[in-house]
Amino acid sequence: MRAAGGADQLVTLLGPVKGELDVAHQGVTAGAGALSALAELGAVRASWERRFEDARKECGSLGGKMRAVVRGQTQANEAVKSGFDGVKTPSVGGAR
Amino acid sequence: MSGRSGGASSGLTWSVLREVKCAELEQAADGWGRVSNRADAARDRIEGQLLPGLRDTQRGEAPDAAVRGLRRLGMNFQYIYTECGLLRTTLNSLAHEIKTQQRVLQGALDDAAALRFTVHADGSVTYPAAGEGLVDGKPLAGGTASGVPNPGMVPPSGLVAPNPNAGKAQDIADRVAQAVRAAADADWRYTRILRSLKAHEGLGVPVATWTDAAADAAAVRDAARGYLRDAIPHDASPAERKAWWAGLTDEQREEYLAVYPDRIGNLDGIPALVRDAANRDNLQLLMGKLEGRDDDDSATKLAALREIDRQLRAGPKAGEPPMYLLGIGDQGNGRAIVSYGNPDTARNVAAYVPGLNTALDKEFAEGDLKRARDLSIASNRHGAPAAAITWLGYDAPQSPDGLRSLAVAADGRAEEGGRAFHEFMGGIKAANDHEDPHMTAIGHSYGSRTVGGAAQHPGGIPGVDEIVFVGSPGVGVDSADDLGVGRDHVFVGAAANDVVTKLPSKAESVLGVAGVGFGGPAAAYAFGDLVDRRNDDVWFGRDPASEAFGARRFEVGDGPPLIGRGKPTIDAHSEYFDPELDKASVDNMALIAAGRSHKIKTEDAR
Repeated sequence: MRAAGGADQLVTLLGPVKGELDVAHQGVTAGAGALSALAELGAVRASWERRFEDARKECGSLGGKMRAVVRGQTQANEAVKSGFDGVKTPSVGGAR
Repeated sequence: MSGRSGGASSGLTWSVLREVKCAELEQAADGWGRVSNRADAARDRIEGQLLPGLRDTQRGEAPDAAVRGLRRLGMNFQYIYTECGLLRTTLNSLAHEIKTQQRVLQGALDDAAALRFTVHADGSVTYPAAGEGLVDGKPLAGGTASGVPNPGMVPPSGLVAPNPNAGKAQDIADRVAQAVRAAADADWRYTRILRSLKAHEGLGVPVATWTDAAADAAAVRDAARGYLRDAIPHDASPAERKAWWAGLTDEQREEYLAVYPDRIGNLDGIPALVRDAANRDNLQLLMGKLEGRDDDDSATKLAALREIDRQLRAGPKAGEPPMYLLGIGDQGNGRAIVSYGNPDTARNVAAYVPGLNTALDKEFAEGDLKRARDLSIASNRHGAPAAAITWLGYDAPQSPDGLRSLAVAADGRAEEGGRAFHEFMGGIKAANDHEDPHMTAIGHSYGSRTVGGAAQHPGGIPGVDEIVFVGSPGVGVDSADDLGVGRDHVFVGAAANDVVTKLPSKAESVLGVAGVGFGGPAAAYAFGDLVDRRNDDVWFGRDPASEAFGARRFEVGDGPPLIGRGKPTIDAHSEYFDPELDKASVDNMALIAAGRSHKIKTEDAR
């Protein structure tokens, strides 16, 4: 479960990426046109924003999968437990 | 601008150049730095917390899929970190170049203003009437000068304008044209670099991606020479380098790591954690570079790098010390320096120099690294934390034809390697947190000759308290007193059956053990030279296991005999570090490395 939580934390960690790049590029976006490098930079930025977003989604999906695994294991354990609970066992001395 | 200015194709004019906001470019660069750091933090969390957590606690098919997914993400973030770091430096470097040209331009514009010249939109400069006409004494008419972006390419006309303003106007116009031209050129170069720094689509990081990343790093490094100015203090002492690194801002460190991971990773005096981080990145870039080649040498090195990468990613098993990559490179026979245990925080640090036939290949990555790992495990059983290092920081001699090459191997490699090892140990000493760490140099085989070479430098090997030779063919000096640590701190392990530690007898020569390279006229010739020397001599001077040499000989296993089970074997030369095959040797070396040499089991000198 810790790993699933860790994957969710990654989603949070990567959340601000697009906003940070937006803010950082405000100036150059306004001044675009002066240098052809700045025009290229726009396309570069878009490609990395996609890559970050894909990675972020992957973290989220991995977290979900890991939680499902844990849930599955818990349910299986409970199923096994309740299965055993249904079995009438001769109790010796009551306790177990 | 006018056609003559040469800047027409880019559309850049001096007024546009003047208005470019470099601070905004730098702000954008900072943004890339920030997101690069986020990617680095994500990778750290995956590789440092999530993966180890999964390995320790969960088993089964679904968790295995999670491990694979996380590994892929980790690689992905490493790639993002690397490329976004390069983007940051690319933009900073572009800003640096544009600012330089803005200063040139501003200087020209200021001069024009002071002289009341007019700089036109196309860069031409109009100047007023001045001087005196020879005939009528009236001021000479003004005019307009057009700039030349490449002075020297236009031959002087031979006609000198009589108006004294004309020359000044020409100079101003030229400076304007040159600034615009240089800025347009930078813009063009950086546009190309930026185009190559676009993200590959998807989430995978195939090998080809690292091949591209290696090319990107090289391109950015080339372009950013003027900006970062390669201020890395290569010629300074390790202590000075440590101080240099400590004096950098976080941003500067990040840029050096992004652009020069190979230089920072291999720079003696830099903290081990920094070297390790740089080299892990450099490892990916090196693998990418070698993947792009199809020669045998690249394939051999690539196999070694992959194995090192595998071990780094797998992480230490329970009870094993963590692994630090202190050096990596593909030059010569290849370089790799790996520490088991943090050499900066350890009180006891031992470094092992391998010898004959060692190169960056798979065998090295498995066998030679295991030697340091086993030694570290054994040393850590004794008190203070210990680190043990395998140091392949030089080109050890290669002997495809067995020991014959040893007979004729020159001292050159050892001297060269000795210098490098001397500097490396200086770095270990400088970077160590302890006031006076306890340091041990271990030379195996020809590596002992290399350690001997390192010890010949003034002051001996920096920080080194103990010197250990195993399987030594001689160390280049005749006495344990000549190694800078005192004879009581020089230790020798020489297996009874290790032929490298002895000269072959006449009988062995006659037997012509071709399989291990004793045979042939060349060998007989070489041996002939050697056999005539003192009876306690070996290949490189006096046998360090001899009485006369004066070192402390410690107990090691005999090793299998040269001709025992039917066919010749020199395995006795290769068992000193193996806790299974020669426990006595490993235990003794661990005690020495841990500063407990009074507990070693000794053996009589030869």
